[in-house]
Parts: sequence; C-alpha cells; structure tokens
Amino acid sequence: MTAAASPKPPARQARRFVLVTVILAVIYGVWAATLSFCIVVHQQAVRQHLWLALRERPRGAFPDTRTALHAASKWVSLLNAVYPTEPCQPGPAFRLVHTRHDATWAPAQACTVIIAVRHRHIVVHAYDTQGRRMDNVFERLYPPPRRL
Amino acid sequence: MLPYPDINPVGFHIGPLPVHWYGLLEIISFFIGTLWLIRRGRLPHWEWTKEQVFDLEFYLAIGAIAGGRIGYVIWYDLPYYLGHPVQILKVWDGGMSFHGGLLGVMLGCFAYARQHGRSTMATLDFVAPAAPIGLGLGRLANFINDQLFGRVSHLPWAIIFPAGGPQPRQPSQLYEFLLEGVMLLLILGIYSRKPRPTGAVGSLFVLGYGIFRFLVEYTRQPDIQLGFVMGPLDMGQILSVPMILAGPALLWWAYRGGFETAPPAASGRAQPSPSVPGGGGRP
Repeated sequence: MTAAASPKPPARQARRFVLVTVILAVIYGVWAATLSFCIVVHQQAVRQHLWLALRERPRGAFPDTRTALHAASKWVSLLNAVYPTEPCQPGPAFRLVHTRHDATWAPAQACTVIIAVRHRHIVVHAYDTQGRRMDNVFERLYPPPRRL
Repeated sequence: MLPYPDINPVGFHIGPLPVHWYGLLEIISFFIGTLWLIRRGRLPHWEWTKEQVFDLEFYLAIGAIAGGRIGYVIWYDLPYYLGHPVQILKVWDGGMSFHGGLLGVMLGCFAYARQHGRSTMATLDFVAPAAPIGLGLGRLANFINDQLFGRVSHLPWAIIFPAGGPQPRQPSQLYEFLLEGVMLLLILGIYSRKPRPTGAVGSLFVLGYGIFRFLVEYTRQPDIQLGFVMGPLDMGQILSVPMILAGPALLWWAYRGGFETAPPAASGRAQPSPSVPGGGGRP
C-alpha cells in the first residue's frame, strides 16, 4: 500500500474527499447531539422517578407477602397518580410486579420503575431509556438535581 | 478485589495554594509532549523550530480546551447547559469531551497551517504521536481523582471506588491509561519513526483511539445523566464509531497521496514533505 501503487488523485478530487468527510462528520455530530438531548431529557425523568421511589419506599419487613403486595399496590397507584407520565412511551411510570421470589425476574421495560416484593420487603429498581437495569446505589449516590 | 489506593487528590501545597495531581499531571504531560515535539521537529523530514512548536501549541491548547468543552456541552448534557448557559464557561467545574477536543485540535491545526503556510494534515501528523502522553496521564489523574470509574464487577482486580458506592468496580481509568496512553503511544511512536505519506500518522491515531475507546467503554460506567444511549452503547462509543469507520478510509486516502496537496500561500515558510519516497512531493 504505497502511493506509487496508484496515481495521486487530482486536487479537485482531493478537495471533494475532504468536503464529503467534513459534511458526514457534521451530520453525524448533529445526529449524536440530538440523540443525546432526547436521552438526557428522558433519563432525567427516570432518575427522578427512581430517586423518589427509593426515598419514599415503605421500609421494613411486612408480616406476610400478601400484606406487602397490598401495600406495594397502593403505593404504586399513588406514585402513578402523582407522576402519571412514563417518559419514553405511553403507559405508567411505575409498575408493580407480582413476583414472590426475586424482583430481578421483572421484565425489562425502558424508562420504568419496577416495584416488587421480595422476602416480605418492598424493593425498587428501574430500567433506563434503553431498557437496561439502572444501578440503584449509583443513582442514590448522585440524586438528580431538579434542574430542567 | 483490590483496595483503592486512596491517593490524596492534592499532591502538595505551594504556600496556601493546593496543587492537585490532575493539574500537575496535565502540566507534566504538556511539558513532556513539548520536549518530544521539539526533538521530533529537529528530524530532517519535519524541520520544525522550537518557536514554531510553541506557536503551534498555543493553537492546540485553545482548540483542545474550547473543543473539549463545547463537545461536552452538545453531546453530553445539552438540556442542562441550555438552561444554564453561564455554566458553559466554568470549565473548572468539570465536563470535557475527548471527541470535541479532537475536533478542536484539528481546527487549531487548520488555523495554524493556514497562517503559516503548512499543510493541515502534515501538522496533524506532527502532533498526533504526542497526544497519547496527555491522554494517558489524564486517565491516571481520573483514577487518582476517584472519577470516571468502571461498571460494577466481581473480577479479582475490581476496586471499590469511594465515590462509586460499596460495589467493586472495573478500574476502567487504568485500562484507558494502558490502551489510549501507553499502547497508542507505542504504536504511533514506532509507526512515525519513518517518513509516512501525509495524513497517515494522524489517520492511524484516529483509528487506534477510536478502537481502544470503543472497547474500554464496555467496562466504564456511563455518564449518569445519559446512561446508555443506543442499546448497549454509550455516548463515548457512539462518538468513536465514526473514528473507527473514518480511520481506514483516511489511511487509504493518505497512501493514495490524497493529502499531498500544496499548502495555501501564506506568510510562513512551506514545510518540507514527510512523504514516502515516490509518494508524490509537496512544496
């Protein structure tokens, strides 16, 4: 792969190559900025929902799973009444999962805070804009500032 | 699991003034990079004087800082900065983007080249091998500052970062130091020891950095305000994709002699070509 293997492109072609590269870079940069803007707005909302749920979560062990589920159900209804909008798609922002064993069984759903009962405790976790489970500890360490 | 070394971010004090490791490492990298460029500039196929290197570094510093900050604003937290535009100027509060810095450096090279009658790509080739020094030491500074750590992991060398909560995490800053710093420095240092076609060294930097950054991002905790942005990819990876795609194209173009164009007439002296023999000369 040496320059001697193929003729040097004429100046006009060289200018066109640079121009096309720059235009493609600009288009990509604008697309990335637009994508980032939308994601930040959505992510901000999910983080606030998660932060609120972690802060207000009923703590301690309930006498039995049925009581815990009942309390969780009432709490989810309250949360959805206060924060009715799911940031990414139509539907509730908080969902109760009726699993008796492990809340990690909950199906991934983008921008949703999942509330479940595990070992008679109410547990909370959230999925980000891409449907990936968020790191509760990290989120709790860095609560979202109310800034939008 | 390894313990976090818990190095004090403040290295020492000069009177009442605390000197942070971060700033110190940046100054050291700037110093080493400058010395290396001066030495490199003495090579017969470059012919850069010490004064010209200092001149160029002024453009590069402005480009890197302005580009890095603007890149962070538009690609990482635009909604916030639209609401708080004054914060954009507070660079000391943190928030720089490598990809923005790279574009800023390219524009800086372009501005310098236009003003001094040199080729932009040849100028980029000249500075590219020194860039991993700053990048690598910057990642070490991130590690010392307990920031930009990795994702939760239970690997034997995972570390509990004080700012990252109680879970052990990947020391992704050290991976970045090794790949974007040491490895890229070796690759570019060895590759650029011989004269190459104009644009080839800069293109190899673009390709190498893009690949390394894309890979390391799989271990890094995404920025909290963004999270993942497209499936399993975070913004660092999204911005590295064009580097991986453009790198080979630019290399191919460089070896075709596509960047061997005459520099625009200006007040400065034209730079001799670092081209391979038979690769098409430049004035």
